[in-house]
Amino acid sequence: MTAIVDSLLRPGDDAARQSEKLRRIAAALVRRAEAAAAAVEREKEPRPTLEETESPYALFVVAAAGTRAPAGEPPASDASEEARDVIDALPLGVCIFDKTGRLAFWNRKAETISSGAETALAIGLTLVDFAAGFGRLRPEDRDSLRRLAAWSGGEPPRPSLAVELRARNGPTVDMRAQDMPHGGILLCLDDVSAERDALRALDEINDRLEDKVSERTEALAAARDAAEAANVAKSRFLAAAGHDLLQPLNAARLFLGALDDTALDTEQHRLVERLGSSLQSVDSLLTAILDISRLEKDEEPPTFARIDLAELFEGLRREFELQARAKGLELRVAPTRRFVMSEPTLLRRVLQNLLANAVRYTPSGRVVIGARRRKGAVAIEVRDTGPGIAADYHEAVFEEFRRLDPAEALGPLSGFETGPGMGLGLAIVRRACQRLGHGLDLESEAGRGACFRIVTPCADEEDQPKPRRAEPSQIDLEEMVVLVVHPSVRARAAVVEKLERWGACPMEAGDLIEAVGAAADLGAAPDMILTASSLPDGATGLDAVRTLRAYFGPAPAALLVERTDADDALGRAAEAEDVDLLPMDDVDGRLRAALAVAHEVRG
Amino acid sequence: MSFDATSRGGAGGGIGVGRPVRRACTDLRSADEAVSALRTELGPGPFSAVFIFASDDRDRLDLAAALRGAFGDAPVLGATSAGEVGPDGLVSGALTALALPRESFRVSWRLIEGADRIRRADGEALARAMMGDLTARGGSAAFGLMLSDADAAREEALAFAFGGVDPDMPFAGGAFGTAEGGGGFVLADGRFTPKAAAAVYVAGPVEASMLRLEHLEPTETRMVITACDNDHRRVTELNGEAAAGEYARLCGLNPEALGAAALADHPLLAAEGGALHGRTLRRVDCDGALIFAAAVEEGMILRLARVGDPAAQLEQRLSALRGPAKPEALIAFDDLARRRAAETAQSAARVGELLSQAGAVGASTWGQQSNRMHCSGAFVGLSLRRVGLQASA
Repeated sequence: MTAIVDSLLRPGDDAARQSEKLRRIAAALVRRAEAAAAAVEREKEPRPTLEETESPYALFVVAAAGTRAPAGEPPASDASEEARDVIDALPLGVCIFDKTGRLAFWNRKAETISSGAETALAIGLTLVDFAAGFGRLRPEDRDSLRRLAAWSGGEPPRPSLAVELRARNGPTVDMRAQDMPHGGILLCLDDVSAERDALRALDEINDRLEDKVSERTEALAAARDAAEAANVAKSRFLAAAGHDLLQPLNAARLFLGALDDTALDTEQHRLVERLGSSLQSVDSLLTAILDISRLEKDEEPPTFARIDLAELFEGLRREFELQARAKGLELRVAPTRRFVMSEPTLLRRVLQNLLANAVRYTPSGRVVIGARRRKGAVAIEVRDTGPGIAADYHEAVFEEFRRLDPAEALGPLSGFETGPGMGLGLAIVRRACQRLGHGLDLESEAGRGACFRIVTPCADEEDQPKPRRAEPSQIDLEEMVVLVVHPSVRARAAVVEKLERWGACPMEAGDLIEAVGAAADLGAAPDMILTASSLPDGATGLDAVRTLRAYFGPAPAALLVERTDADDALGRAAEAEDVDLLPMDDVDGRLRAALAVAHEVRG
Repeated sequence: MSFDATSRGGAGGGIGVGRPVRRACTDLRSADEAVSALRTELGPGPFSAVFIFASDDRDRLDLAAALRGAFGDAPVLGATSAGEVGPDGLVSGALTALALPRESFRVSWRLIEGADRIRRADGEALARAMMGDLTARGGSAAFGLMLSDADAAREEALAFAFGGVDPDMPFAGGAFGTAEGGGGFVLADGRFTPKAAAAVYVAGPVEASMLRLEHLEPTETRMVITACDNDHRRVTELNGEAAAGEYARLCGLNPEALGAAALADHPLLAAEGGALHGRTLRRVDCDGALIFAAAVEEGMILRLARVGDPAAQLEQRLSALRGPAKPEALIAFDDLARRRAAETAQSAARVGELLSQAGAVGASTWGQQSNRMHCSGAFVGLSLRRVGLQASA
């Protein structure tokens, strides 16, 4: 028996494939038996009586079993004998219903499955009777029974039917019914308990996992909601408290003004001045708090407008010029023609805070504000030559009320001064940038100054006035910072004029010392170095390039040469250091090309 | 040995008592020379019929032209064959012939063109007409023959109709085709015709007895045909799998390796009419379907068979046939797969020798008919034994 099945099935097949193949084999065998039985019946004259053969299947079954050959029938042939053996050996339950819908034959496996399901097989049962003997517990079983009954009631040929029944405390049975060509029904029963149990176990694990995930998700959502609620409450409180505090504060300052107008002695006058300064500090602190709470509270999206940076920078320069000059600082505004998209008040506030910080913490040197084009966006930079901020603190400086330990975070502290609002200016900058969707980053290290960069969307340039250019050009030099080192003021001016016309942002230096100073002001290597081949005090252009690169990092560089000193030795030396040679009398094309390359390098 | 003398001594042999059947064989390649040699060997006519099995590597037009009128008005019936059986045993590339002298035999024959479309009822009507024709001429059929193109694939219907018209009459036939599993041509009416069959009834002073040998032993390896094209005997699916692949798996072969030799080495059996009968595989189609030499149907259970040695069994059965009065001729249809098996077992020479001694004339075929049944993988022979009667001329 096992030998029969061994050859019929492939060892590598999975359970579903095996069942499918067994069903096909059973159907083929039954169709042939049915055809043979039908042929015998056709040839019988006169027609067989019901007693003799109730149906072709009974005939087949009887002939196949060889036990009760009806009178006049040939004895069981080897063909049907063998077919019966094979059907009996199949690990698939096979039941055959005759064309009157009565059970006529079943194989061994059908017997096993039925007894497991505690239902009995008997000649003459209908398909529905048989199935109804199975479990009636689950709703899906009732549905299966309904479908089976509906199918049985239908007119052949019907599409084959597949239902699943689970017997109470018994096997899960996959039942497939199909019409046979001569009017009978083949029912295949497959015990799929093992597969279903495995699936159920998997489902349970899945359900448990899903439960856990959703529990965890709910917990997280609750925590998040609580945090948000607390934050909103805090902001509301700050907004309300801020307003309420400002009114008595303003009153106090009025009273203080009134007090100062009365006759006071010198000592009293000095005290009133100190009091006024303290109140001023409280005022700016409260204003900062209010700014923060307003930024948090606002749910309306900011309204962007096109902003002319040149105009904005000019306003800022006027605002901070005096303050800077008072500290002996140089406040520089790099010329720009950029327009950006942002919310004007907030952007202005951000830059005010950055400039105020820079001016406050830079003991000497320069504060520079400028803009650069960056891949479709514009980066607004505020650079200073202050003490710088160590990399470890780049995140911390943006936190509210975070006061850095100056010894740790800041570089040399000469002239370092603390002031009110120190812990809030950068926090406001960060919140505002978040709200505006602008990028914000900080480039700094201890002792090397700082550069805060706000990245804003570039405004549509179509309606901008096109800068007049000396020649048509494909590349836009986009505020490239170009350091021009040349002892001759005239030569320098000529180059600088060209660079400005092309949209670059030139810096000038007459000798090596000035060049290093300019780069130090910038706090970084320029985007390009253009230098004369020989400089005052015996230095060469290559010396200048080497020095600048050593201090500030790699930068593209070129030597501006007269034809006379364009000798081979210099060319080789320059090439060895990756420095171009640019003849002064042919500077336009070559210079543009060199700048274009440098521009590419800058990315 | 007396049979050899009978057939070979045709030229000088007289007509009449004791020499009813003549046979000949030649391997000459030229059609005219070969036919001339056959005429010499068969001796002077007149004949009531000449049967010729011609190797299928010959030019059929030349051969048909050479045969026209070569035997007077006697019908020349035959087929193209892939291996012949004659006085020299099992041969290839030859012409073998068998002639029935007119003074002893009456023949009724028909060429059935378009045999691939014949229905059983039409065949039965034709068979009855042929029988009536024979009776009208004062004879009753001693035996019947059927020669057909294996590609017509209607041997079951033909055997049932023409073999069943008289249940007591021995009836044998063969389906002809190439060694590679292709079809063959039936010779009748002076031409070679594809998809045809020739049916013949013979009346004469002989007693014919059927010899049917199978050399296959069943194994327990079974396969169920789950999809097939009955009309073309194409099995596309076995055990719910693509047929060639499943067959190869059960044979323990690589599906690529299913050539003629592999098919012959792994024959199949099917239960039919109370016994297992051969189901020879002619070839594997390019789409992986198996082409059989006998009827297949969905739900049929096939068993893989072991190949026995055809020679030993043949020897045993032939010696039993000899008995007191030796048969005069043996019309032989030997399955192509059987011949290959003999070659594999290195017993082809012995088989040829045994057949030659038994007076065999015939050919290798794809499937054989014996009485009402068609099967494949067997040897079917009609042994003709003289009875005392002498038909008048």
